[in-house]
Amino acid sequence: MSITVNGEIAPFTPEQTIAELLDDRGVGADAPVAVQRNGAFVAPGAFAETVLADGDVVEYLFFLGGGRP
Amino acid sequence: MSLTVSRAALAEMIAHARADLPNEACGYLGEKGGVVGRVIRLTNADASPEHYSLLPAEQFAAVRALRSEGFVLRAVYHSHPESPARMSAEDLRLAADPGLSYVIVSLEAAEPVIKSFRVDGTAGEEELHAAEE
Repeated sequence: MSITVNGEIAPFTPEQTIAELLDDRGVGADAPVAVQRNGAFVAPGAFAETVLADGDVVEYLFFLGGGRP
Repeated sequence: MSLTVSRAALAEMIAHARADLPNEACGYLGEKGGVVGRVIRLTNADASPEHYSLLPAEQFAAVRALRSEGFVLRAVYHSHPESPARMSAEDLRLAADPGLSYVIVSLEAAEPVIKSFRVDGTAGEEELHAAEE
């Protein structure tokens, strides 16, 4: 069983959630990330309860910005 | 670390920065074979001369486009219309992705200045090299 994470095939464990996937990759619970699962946005509040399934395509990235001062 | 950028990509970033005046411009840089050769202009959701924010939907689309063309996301760039090419406190606070380089295009002087920075363990300015195609 595998999923695709940011374009690369990756193993996953049964019942693994998006929150656990991010944690495994060193992305902290408070990190400003956006996640899409099979092309649809997943709300941050649902990371911990969204269970991954075989063949899922997951993308995540960081919100970015900047400015003065 | 260092960042190598094609001259065409450097010119494209400057053109974008000028086109979006008076606001800050922003976008992604894709790397292939160790050289940044792809610039993807993104929308500054803040439409501000002093601040920028990327739109996640555009970010996802840009990453997929880069991947489909054989590039990897290497850096994010933004412009400073009237200030130097250095990371402001706000730039550092919102530089959430430690895996990227942060490129700033300053239009403060008559001649644009482009510098690249890291925010990971080697935080600070990194060497930026211009490369032919």
